[in-house]
Order: sequence, then C-alpha cells, then structure tokens
Amino acid sequence: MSIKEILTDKLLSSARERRLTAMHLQKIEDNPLDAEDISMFEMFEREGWSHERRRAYIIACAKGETIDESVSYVAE
Amino acid sequence: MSDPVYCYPPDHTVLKNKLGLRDVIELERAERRLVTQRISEIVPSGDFDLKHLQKFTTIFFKIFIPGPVKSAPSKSRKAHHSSSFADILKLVWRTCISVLSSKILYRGLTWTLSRRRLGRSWVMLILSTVSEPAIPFGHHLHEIRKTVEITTLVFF
Repeated sequence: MSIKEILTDKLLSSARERRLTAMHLQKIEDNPLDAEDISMFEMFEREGWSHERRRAYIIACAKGETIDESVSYVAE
Repeated sequence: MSDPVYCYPPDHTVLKNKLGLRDVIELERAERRLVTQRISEIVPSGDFDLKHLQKFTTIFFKIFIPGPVKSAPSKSRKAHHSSSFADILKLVWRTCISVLSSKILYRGLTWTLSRRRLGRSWVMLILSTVSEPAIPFGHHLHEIRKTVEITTLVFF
C-alpha cells in the first residue's frame, strides 16, 4: 500500500478495535496514551490515513521535523 | 534505572534509541504512539495465551524479519554465531518463563494470572523490539537479553 492510499471503512473499523486494545495494553504498561495521542489517532481514522503515512507522521513528530500537510489524502 | 551501556550519558537514564531521543518523556511518547500504531495494523485478536502469542509472532516474522539477524559481538563463543530471530525469540521466551516461575513462587501468584501478565509484557517487548524504528534496541542478541532483564525487573 502506498503512503497516499487510504484505508477502507472495513479496514478502519478493525484497526480502530485493535487501537483500543493497544491503548489498554499501554495503560497496563504504565505508559498510557494522553489526550493529544488519542486525538491524533482519531484524526488518522477520521481521515482514513494509510498505516504507512501514520508511521511517517509519528516519526516526524518525534524527530521534531516539519510535517507536510499540503497534500490531501482524504477519500473523495 | 541507570545503565552506562544501554543509556545515554551523562546521567545514563534514557535508553539508547534509533530516534536519538535524549528526553525520557519524548521517548515514552514516541514509543507508545508507534507501538499503538503497530498493534492497530497487525495484531490479531486473542486472549494473550501462548496460541495467541504464536499467531502474531508469526505475523511479525512475515512482516518485519527479512532474514537471519547477526548477534552482537560478545566474549561468549556462542554469541559469535548468527542467530535467527526465531532463536532469539525462543531465548527471550525461555528467560521470561524462568524469571516468572521464580517470581510466582516468591509472590504466591497463580499461574493463570501471571501468564496473562507475562503475555502482555511479551507483546510490548516484541513490539518494542521489532517496531519501526525499533525502540529502544536493535536486533542484537545481548541487547534483547538486556531488554528482558529490564522488562522483568519492571513488571515482575
């Protein structure tokens, strides 16, 4: 899947379920997601970002790099 | 935690990581985000029992591991040989079981409860090891051993 591709509703739904499981695990591991993290993942799901783009975005944020938001990846 | 080998100087409290993050808060944020992302991509549903762990470990093999990985330099003769990631996982699992067994006896915990907790920690350990960009360690044998030690110290 290319970084510009979007996820279908079915894939998004299953990914969201797994994300909720992941949040539970992170809480157990004493590193829970904060409001900003949750908001970010909800934005990914709302706009149907591909997993590749999500990872690239998270890594760019962590490195403090400039994030190009000029290209729309949202389903028409 | 303070470790002169696996943490950044000068205070040796932040684990060395591929993102080069020197702040523990930033590292924890990146780790929970990347691990959460990876889980949302590929981890199948289950109850974190052995069968479930085997299932998603197999998925990890297919996605992340292109071939055998070489162990890190060590004085140990055994560690000079290349090891498959499967061998490393077996080592990690055996170590966890060993440590867990002693802790169960020490704390009087039931095996079922402890196994479930171990399963969750196992998930986090493997994800931390293979997640892109592999936080906080690479695929080196002795580093994974160290990860196990840290994990077991923290969670058991």
